[in-house]
Amino acid sequence: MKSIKLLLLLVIHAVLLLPPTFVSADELLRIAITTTTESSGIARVLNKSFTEQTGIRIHTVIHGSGQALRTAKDGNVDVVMAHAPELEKTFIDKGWGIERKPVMQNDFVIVGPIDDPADVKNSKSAAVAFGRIAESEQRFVSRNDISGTHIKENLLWRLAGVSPEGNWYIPAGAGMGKVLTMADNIGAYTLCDRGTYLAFKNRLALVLLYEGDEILYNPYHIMIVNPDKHPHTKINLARKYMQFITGEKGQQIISDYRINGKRAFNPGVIEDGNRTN
Amino acid sequence: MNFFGKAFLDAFNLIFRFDAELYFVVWTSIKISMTSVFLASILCIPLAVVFSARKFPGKSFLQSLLNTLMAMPTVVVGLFLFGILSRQGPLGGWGLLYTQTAMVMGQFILIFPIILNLAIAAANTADPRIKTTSIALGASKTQQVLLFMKEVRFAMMAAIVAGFGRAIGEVGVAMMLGGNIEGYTRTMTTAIALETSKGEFEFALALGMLLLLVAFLVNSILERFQKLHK
Repeated sequence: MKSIKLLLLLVIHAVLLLPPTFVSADELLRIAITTTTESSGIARVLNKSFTEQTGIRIHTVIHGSGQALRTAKDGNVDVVMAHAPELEKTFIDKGWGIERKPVMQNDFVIVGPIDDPADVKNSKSAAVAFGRIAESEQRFVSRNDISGTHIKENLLWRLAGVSPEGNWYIPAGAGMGKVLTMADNIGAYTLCDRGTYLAFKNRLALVLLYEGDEILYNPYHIMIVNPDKHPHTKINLARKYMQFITGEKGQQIISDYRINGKRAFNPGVIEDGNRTN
Repeated sequence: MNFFGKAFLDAFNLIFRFDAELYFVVWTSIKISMTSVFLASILCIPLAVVFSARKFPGKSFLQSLLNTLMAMPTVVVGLFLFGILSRQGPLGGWGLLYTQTAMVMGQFILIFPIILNLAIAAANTADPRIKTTSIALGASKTQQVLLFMKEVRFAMMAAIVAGFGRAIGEVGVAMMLGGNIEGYTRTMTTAIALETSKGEFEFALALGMLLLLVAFLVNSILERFQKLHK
């Protein structure tokens, strides 16, 4: 088996004219991040700064929270950042990951057509808003991809006492940007994280209709893959990365980050839903 | 400005801005596709010649199987290799997931049936009299093969070009196995997918135009190469 691998790598690397990856692999950290941190641009800025400061290279793969945690569970990355607290707790409880720490937070907003036929704008809570969309059977585009946003959607439907079914409910199975674009094209409602919304705002006819409910709180956490389960995990590099982005420099970058002049994330998070900066 | 107008303008800017990052993405695409095409071709062409020349039981079944495999969705190839190369998979210990090597392996599997199939078709087009004539003229075994290859080289080249087209234009394998890592496994197609997901449609379309331009250039070079050897 070993010799097959060697032969295979030799052939491919020879043809690719590649410096074999396994030589400098020690200084390479692999992380999985969520689509929202990529499309808002924050992950890129953080990682660039980390590499400049430490000389450690980063390979980033971009997935929804569900897929990101799955690939981390399988040991394909060293660090994972996600925004799906329930899935993250399972990830830690089952021993797939260690050291879950808060990184940053923002919130979800409900967007929809400007004439707001479901009257979401004047809702008392996010759950009431979702109830109104269901009741008036106005179209709603769902992420439907087990992402952090999709899990939040489901929580809101539960709180509204609705099981979303029918022609008005459109389970898209796509990333945030695609879902926003779909909703925009057909004049539907959707739930969106603030970062992506800010990044897309200028090209959308949809408007922000509801924000501010505690339940819409959206915390991001970072976790290290358990080296007991996956001995190849680069635990030292992973710790350095965690220290960097939860430390002073990383938190400052998050705090300073702007999209179209608006702050997209607040640094740090307090557990149990108590919001602070 | 309208959608297509902006896309064309973006494409124009992209090409002439000489952005290092972009050219790296283009280079990654070419390099990975070329590698997989090269590896698949050196295996497929001799195989095809043998396949075409021999009669054996199950030949027509194999032919149908090859035809079927040409329809393989790229994501399925990606998932298949993902299951094997993921740390939990049988070859997980090799640590190859999210590398260029994994992408080459995926594209190899993807284009192998295409190149093999078309190469068999190419070998079948050869006039059967070549063999008898060359033997009659006293050609050695090597000379016979060379003569045969010379006869079918255009059709063989078409098989290689078709494989390259499939490899450079596919996104499923590149995304699943490469992971679209910036500065490493990001190719033109995964960049297009990413920009689309960000809502940068014009920029994504501009990248698509660039991809076609690159494919055109590569094919032109191959064609020139063919003419030289006429």
